[in-house]
Amino acid sequence: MTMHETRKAPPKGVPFRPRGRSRVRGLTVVRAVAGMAVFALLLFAWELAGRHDTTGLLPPFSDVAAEMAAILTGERLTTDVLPSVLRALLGFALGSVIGMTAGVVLGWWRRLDPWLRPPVEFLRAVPTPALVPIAVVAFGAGNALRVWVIALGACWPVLLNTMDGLRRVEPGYIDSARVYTSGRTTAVLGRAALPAALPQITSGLRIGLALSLILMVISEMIASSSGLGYLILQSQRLYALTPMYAGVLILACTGWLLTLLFSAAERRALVWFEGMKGRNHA
Amino acid sequence: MRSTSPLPTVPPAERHRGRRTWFMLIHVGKGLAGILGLVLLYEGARATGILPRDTIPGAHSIATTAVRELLDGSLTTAAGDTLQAWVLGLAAACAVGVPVGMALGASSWADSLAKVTVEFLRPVPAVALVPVAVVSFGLDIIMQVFLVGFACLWPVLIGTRHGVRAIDPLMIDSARMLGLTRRAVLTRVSLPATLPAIATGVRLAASLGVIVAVAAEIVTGSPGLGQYLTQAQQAGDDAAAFASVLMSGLLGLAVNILFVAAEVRVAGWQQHSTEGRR
Repeated sequence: MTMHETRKAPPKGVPFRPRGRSRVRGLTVVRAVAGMAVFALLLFAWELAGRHDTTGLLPPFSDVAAEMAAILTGERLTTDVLPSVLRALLGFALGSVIGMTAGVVLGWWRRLDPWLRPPVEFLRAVPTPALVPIAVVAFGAGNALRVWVIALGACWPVLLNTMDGLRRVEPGYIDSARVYTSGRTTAVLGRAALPAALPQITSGLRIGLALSLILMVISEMIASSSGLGYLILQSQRLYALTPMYAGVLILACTGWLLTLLFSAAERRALVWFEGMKGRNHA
Repeated sequence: MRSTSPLPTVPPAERHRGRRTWFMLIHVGKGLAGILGLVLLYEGARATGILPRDTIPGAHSIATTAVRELLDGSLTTAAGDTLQAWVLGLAAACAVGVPVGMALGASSWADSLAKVTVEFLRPVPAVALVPVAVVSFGLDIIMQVFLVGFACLWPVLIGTRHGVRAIDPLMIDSARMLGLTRRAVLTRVSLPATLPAIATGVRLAASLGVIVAVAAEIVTGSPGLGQYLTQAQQAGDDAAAFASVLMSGLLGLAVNILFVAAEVRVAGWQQHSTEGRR
């Protein structure tokens, strides 16, 4: 797809597809393979660099991959990897619910805004990792604490985007909903305002997911004895570089998989929006 | 900040000027009341024992400690160190992210080639690279800059790429038809049209950068607010630890206000984006 391509109107009855999807299928496959080849080439470069490395700081990729397989098939899967992922997901879910609820309150009842905006802006600006050492001292380092820390960090982008999204809903939609539904706040919110704000809410959720992973790692690096973050930090302190890189690679794969799942869910939820995007700018 | 102000619109006539300042004062007053409410909530949670009183200091002692440490320079130096790592990291991320993002947005072949690599690297939580960075760069500021830069790179790169993609092909075609060279199209059409998307990406990256900088300092003990926090904690000085949290919050707030203002300046003409906030 070049930038010079002019946009053609979609035929009647066919849902609008964004540019780039309508490409010849064969070419798409070639491109996908080329992308994977570049990635494989990078891994190969890592392998070569590792083999010829004399400082001992960079283990070759094959060693790291073998170590990664050993961790994923050994008992560390159930003691470190899965609990980590579970905590991140739980925290993300909890934070999303909190963020959306608060976001709806702040976005819908605008009179609250001048009162609540300054404290909210301050609280969300506090870097959540800074709260981890304090919370560990105050409440002790347990599973619940880690989940709450992740929730606390993940809730802000969800809150802000829900709030902003609701405020930017076209007033006409809300007025129509007032007329065509029972007119109660719940009906207007559920039938018109929230669906209209969904694209922005999902971009908040996406940022929240990325933050959940960061906080998961951080919460396991401080005052912990298990988890992926603990695994990589401990390996580094023991100078066991192969397990360290293996842990980083597992984290990378976890993030990649979770993002993939999220994108799939997002595509399902926002099918209607993909079509809108092209039309708005036309 | 970007939302519609709840102030009633007052005509700019001379005789209304007094009323406008009055409304502004009420607005500021409500905000101050909100902050006061937050402090009261905090004190209330301490009084009822939801927050343990022995490890969590009162608002008054946090504030006095913050002012004292700011004046004697220890907290100021720490904030300066964090700020330095953040600025350098963000600058590095922009230096790489904007050109690469433009290339990926403009050339679909470049985009296909980089796709798998970008999709794999982007979700890597930056703090997971802390041990790797320590092994490769030691405990210097370079390590922090690398981590902040890695975290900031993706919002900038992806934002720029989306921005270039969203340019109306008609604009490019018109510019070409009017005789602009490819280079001129890039600098006079593509870049200005992408600026709003870049600004949004940089703003997202900026607040992520503060988080990663503080996190790296806590874990590695390299100088900055995070290190100040852990040292104060080890010394049993809870008020100083909270003062550094307060300071990092204020720093984050300043960063946000600055970037939102910059974004409005650069991209105020453009419709809102759905790229999200953080």
